[in-house]
Amino acid sequence: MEPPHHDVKKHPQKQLAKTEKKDEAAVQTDGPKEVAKDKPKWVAPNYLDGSFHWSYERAASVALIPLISTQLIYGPHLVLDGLLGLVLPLHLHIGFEACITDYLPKRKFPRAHKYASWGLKATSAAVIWGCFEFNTNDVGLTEFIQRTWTA
Amino acid sequence: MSVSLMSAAAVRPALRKHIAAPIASYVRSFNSSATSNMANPAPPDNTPAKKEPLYKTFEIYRWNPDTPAEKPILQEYKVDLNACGPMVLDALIKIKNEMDPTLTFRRSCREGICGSCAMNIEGGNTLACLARIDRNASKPLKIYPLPNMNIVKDLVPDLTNFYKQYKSIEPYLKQKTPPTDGKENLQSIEDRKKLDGLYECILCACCSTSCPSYWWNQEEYLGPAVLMQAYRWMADSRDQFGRERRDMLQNQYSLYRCHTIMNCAKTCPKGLNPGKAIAQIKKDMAFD
Amino acid sequence: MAAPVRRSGLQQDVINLYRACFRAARQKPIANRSHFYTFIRQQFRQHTLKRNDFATIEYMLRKGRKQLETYSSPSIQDVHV
Repeated sequence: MEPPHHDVKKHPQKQLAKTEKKDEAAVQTDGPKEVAKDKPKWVAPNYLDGSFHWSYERAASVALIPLISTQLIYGPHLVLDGLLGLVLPLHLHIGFEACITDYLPKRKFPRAHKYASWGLKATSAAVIWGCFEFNTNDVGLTEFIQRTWTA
Repeated sequence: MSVSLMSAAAVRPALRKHIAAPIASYVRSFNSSATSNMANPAPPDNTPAKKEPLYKTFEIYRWNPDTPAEKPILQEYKVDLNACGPMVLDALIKIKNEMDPTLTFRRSCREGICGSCAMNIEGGNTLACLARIDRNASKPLKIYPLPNMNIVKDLVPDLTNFYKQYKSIEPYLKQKTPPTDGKENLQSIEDRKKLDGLYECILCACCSTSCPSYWWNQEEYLGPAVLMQAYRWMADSRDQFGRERRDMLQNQYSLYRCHTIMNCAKTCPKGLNPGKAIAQIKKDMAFD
Repeated sequence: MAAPVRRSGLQQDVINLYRACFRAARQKPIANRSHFYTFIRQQFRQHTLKRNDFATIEYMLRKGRKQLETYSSPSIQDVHV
């Protein structure tokens, strides 16, 4: 019997001695452990997870537009293909990462979260490397799509 | 009117006589001791003829915390729509008054200004006092509490976490330098206009509980209602802690679990757009 | 000591809450402590729940935590069942 509840590991009995009222809201992944009951907790801003993450997410999306559209119009280009082989996997990586933080949050599924995020990192790295190899040693991404399209 | 009030007791025997009489429409006009004396054969225009009862089924989520092991059920009530007000809340009150006093729900102002009666009606979060009853009696009307919330009883959700989150954004004016004349905070008309569409929020939690991101991560994601209020204070020209307020949201969960699903704007019973406010916060934070 | 019992997370949560309740009761005046003990035991034994009825157990946990928060306040001195 394994109910979907894993909070025990996070707060051992030592903390319970202070206040049993240890609801999930107080269990911040990177926040202070205990907060005074009536004071709003202050958590150091984490720009890397916050606005920077949002900005490069947007940047990747925007960068994809010229990378794809120019090759659609003018045909395959080696440098653009190389960039596409980097930006597209990054874009996908960010998207899947959001899925993991949404559906497998560390708070609820600590183990699954770890496996999923490392699995994703490994996959994304492999894809980037694969794209690089494909672009340098083979016909390149766009050319490949063009051929399969017309085949 | 005052006459009828004073002579209410005296009118009663006369009333009884009228009920017995075939012209029953007089019964409705309680203050018409004068009219009844007029010996007018046709009923006056202002007294509507008694309508045929129109029974509509209401299926309402019931769960009693005193018997926690029992599963929640949908209980059916048949309400005569012709003897009931036009809104869902009127029907709920009628059910509670006349059929089942154990039915539990929150309500207060019955005009969409308090936000107490937020519930899930026909699959959408809205205020029961602003939701009209569909007069098509063939279809049952389903009422559930706000989705993905802990239930206190029947239609009453536990909003403790929601209010705690609201508190965490410090929803009040914060200043570093008090106003120069030491009296009041002046604001131009343009600056005041920036708060329109933000300050009207009544914190009914309809939007937050309609947001899938909030369903999965409500412990850490603040949700549209609270974020819109956070933006309301960032946008206020009199508030001087905008940067600090934004810094509080610099993490993976508080703000950035918003994926512009826009259920919030779609469901808001006050017609506000929390999604737009969240987008504004994101934009401001990107340029901080 | 016997081998440690393997408990599920939820079982451990319930036990933790039970212990925390008694710990809170020990902060009360000695004369009234037995009232608290009776009250706590009664609260925990009130319902016979199936051990795999997670939703109900989680609800009871939430309710218990809320109650504990209330009566662990120092202003509350006594309880009557």
